[in-house]
Amino acid sequence: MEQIVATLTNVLILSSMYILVALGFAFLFNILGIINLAHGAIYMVGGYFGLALIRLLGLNPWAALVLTGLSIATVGLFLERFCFRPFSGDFNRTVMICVVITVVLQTAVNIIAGTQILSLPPFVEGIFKIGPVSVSYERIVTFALGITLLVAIIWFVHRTKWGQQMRAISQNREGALLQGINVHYISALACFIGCGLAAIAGCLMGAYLGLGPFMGDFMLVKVLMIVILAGIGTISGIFIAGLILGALDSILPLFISGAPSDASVIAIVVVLLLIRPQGFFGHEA
Amino acid sequence: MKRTFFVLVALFLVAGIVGAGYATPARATEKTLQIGCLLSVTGFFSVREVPDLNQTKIAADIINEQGGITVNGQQYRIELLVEDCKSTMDGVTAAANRLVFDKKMKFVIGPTAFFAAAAGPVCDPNKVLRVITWCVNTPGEVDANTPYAFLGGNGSALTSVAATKYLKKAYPQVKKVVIVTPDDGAVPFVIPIAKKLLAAQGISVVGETIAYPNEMQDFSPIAAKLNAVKEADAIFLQNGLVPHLAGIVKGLRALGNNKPIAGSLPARISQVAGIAGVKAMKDVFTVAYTPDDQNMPPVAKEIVNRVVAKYGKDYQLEMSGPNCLWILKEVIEAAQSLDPTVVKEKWESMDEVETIFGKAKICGDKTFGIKHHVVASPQPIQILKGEKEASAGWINLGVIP
Amino acid sequence: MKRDKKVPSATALSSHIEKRIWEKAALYTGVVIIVALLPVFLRSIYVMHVLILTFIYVVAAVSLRTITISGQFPLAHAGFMGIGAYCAGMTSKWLGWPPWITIPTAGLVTMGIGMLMGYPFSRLRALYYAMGSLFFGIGVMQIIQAGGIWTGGYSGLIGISPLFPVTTAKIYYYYFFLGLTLVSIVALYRFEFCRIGMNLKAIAQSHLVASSVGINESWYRILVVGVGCFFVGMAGAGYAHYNQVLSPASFNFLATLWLVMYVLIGGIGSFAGPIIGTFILILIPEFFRDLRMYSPFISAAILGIVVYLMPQGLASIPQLVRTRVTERRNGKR
Repeated sequence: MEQIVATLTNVLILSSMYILVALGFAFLFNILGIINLAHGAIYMVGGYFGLALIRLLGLNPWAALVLTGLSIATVGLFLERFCFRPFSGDFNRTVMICVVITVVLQTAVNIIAGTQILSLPPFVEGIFKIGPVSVSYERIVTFALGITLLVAIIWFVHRTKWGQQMRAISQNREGALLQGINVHYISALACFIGCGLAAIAGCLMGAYLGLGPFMGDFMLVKVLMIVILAGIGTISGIFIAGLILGALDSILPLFISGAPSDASVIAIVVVLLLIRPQGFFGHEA
Repeated sequence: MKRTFFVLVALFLVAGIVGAGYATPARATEKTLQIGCLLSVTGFFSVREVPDLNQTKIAADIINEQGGITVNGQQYRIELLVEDCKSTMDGVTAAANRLVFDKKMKFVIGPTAFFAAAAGPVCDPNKVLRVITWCVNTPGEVDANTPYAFLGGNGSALTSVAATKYLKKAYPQVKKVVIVTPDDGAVPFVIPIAKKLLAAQGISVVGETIAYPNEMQDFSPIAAKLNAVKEADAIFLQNGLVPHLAGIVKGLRALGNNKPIAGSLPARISQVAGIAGVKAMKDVFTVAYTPDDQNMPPVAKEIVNRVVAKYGKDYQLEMSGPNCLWILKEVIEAAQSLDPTVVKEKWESMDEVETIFGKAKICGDKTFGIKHHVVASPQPIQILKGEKEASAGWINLGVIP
Repeated sequence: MKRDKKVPSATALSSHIEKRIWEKAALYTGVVIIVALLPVFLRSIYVMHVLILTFIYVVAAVSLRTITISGQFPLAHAGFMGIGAYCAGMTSKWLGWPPWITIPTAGLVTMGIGMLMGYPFSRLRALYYAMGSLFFGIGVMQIIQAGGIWTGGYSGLIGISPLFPVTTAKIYYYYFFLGLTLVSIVALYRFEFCRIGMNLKAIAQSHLVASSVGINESWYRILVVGVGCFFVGMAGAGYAHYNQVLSPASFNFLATLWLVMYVLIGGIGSFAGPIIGTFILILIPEFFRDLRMYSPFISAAILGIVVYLMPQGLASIPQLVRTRVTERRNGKR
């Protein structure tokens, strides 16, 4: 019983983090048409930025979280204007510029903070016990935050005008242009939100797992898996794919010892891709 | 037009390559002894190697202040020549190639752990003596096939000795442990040694060894697995990094599991506490160095003081590089020769050597498969006292079989 | 004075083209001779080591580009290099096979696995193919990492027998890899410009038209992946026997990304592109090796310059220059 509850909480937390970052990535993917390979680096920088705010400005973790989200989101605006927009549609050059961004960010962080093992302070401390089951408050809070953000994003996409415009662009770019939608403006907004989400996830994970200059690499692979499994143009698909991946990552290590557990996760993803290459929930591009 | 361009490019490249080739290889002047360092300054491993390198530099300063190395009446200043291993095996090979062929190094410090195996094919045939900073007992690091590789730093076998001895001393009620370790290819070599050492302290192992992928981020499943082993009195983590231990500690305590956690790895308690939280760190210990440890042997203490003065109290204390350098100096002076083969033979004939941690035995014949290549320096145990990390004493390793 | 631009006659045109072909051939022969004679002038064994690695990566990059002429963009290439490397390494270490058997075997095995991957993925279109192959590449390396004592896991495989006896000078390795690289380049060049290659380019441009003239799209796609994988597998095997140690981290997603960078920086449109790109991206950072922690910035700078200023890659520089000069000449009139 205890193990089941523990595993369930693991799945929920991990999934919510994955979904947060994957949503940001999906925004960029669907609306800008960009595969942002630098998303992992942005997530990582978000975590370090939050730590810098806490340490250097003495902010409390919550304020730092909000400020980080907004700041990195603003950086996202610059990225969209100077790095993504000039190359939209050109897959090759997009990949190149993403590699440049990733290398620059990772090297810079490594030089500044690489030699120390850092972590954000936990947002909440303490353990919550019911009977034989105990869960730390930090996990509950992380999960709650994640869910709140996700709900907010869904509301934004489905209920606001901008969200509608985003969905229009992701379905048919030319059609949206013909309708008079300002694609550049919406793209910038999407990049703003995408990078902001990644940065917030970086802070939350930084408190939960600790920071590292290369922590973005592993997150990027997870996000790619989620987005591809889900398919283009779907938000709810990301949720489901994120849950599946979070479940795999939390449950498989229980049964498979050691390195094979990582390999099995990827093997399952590859098999799923072979079954349905265009993703399970998206519409054909 | 195109032809001219290509010819120009080709000439430029050729000129550059030839120029690089003609770049003067650092020639040792009469009074300087250059010692190569194979450490990773970039990449994921740099978080460990850069502090170690800086500590080695401080050790070199101390040795030079004391007059350097004296061989046959001639004093030599030590100069460290670092080549970046870039945290990859080919990085090690490239760096080793550069040090051995270009810079003509005779003595090298490093590489660390399984990276050391990549330097073997370059160094051993060319009779370059290496002092490894960390050994995880995988083939090719320090074994029968590496006649010119010595262990001067630390290693999983050594931390296992210290951890098991302390576990017995501080927690005599612990009779059964469950072992957890990263699955990094060293498991078949490291774990049997750990099990033997545990048995030597009268502690038996229950359940199977729980291994996790090296790049694991979220340790909750591992904590759940460990928690499920009810018969264990304690958890024994062999090898791994700070985030691993932190994840396991945090996960276990969150599940309400408060059993002692023995960390047979050099993770600093303060860093683990930073991730896991101070309250979770009760009954957790590691084999790590504490800056204001009163019982630290004098040479190490001097190095640590200088490190703290220059880099601050929270700087990572690896201390294996400086130890390698110090031991190398001792053996060279004992051998009174700068020929690696002579030094090697002297090392193999010695039973004991002075390290930065005091006298240590040269041993490890059966465990490592080669006679007298391993220096078993005393190891400190680190715990959390109140809110700060503190030393729980030093363990003398004695003679490792 | 206005100069009438003469319209060249047919014979003048064909002899002009012939002259260009001879010029090109002479140029490339010249480059090869220079590279072949380099060791004689080099005093640095280390630089020879770097060049050997460059040769290996050139083969990998060119074979990657060969696959892309069919419109597919695999992001698993370093994974295939790893398959070749581990295949050679494991057969050499555990079965004791000599290098002249392990290297072709590794090539064939890699080709087989490549075609196996190509088969189900061939019906995917560009983006999905790229992503699918990305996970395939990562997955292969994860499997190798989980290989326990047979592959050495994360710590790597050691004890692979070297190509030549242990005391051989590096110069033999240099010429061996130069030879292997030249043979691979020539083979891939002939492949691209023969009938098969032409068909592949047709498929890339429009698969509907191609299939309407009877080109079996799927089969060609699988074939080209197989050919590309064969050569990168051999490159990996050579690498294994040169280094004598292998680790899965050398063939991960980052390594694939860098291979892609070598191709893109040189220019995906030209055959010489990947060759130039590999040389530039490996050699230039080597000059800045002493910057250590800051050296990745150099590679990033090169990439940044190319991506913003030279969209077609470095191989397009002469074209750009020529256009600029012609424009200026036309403008002056």
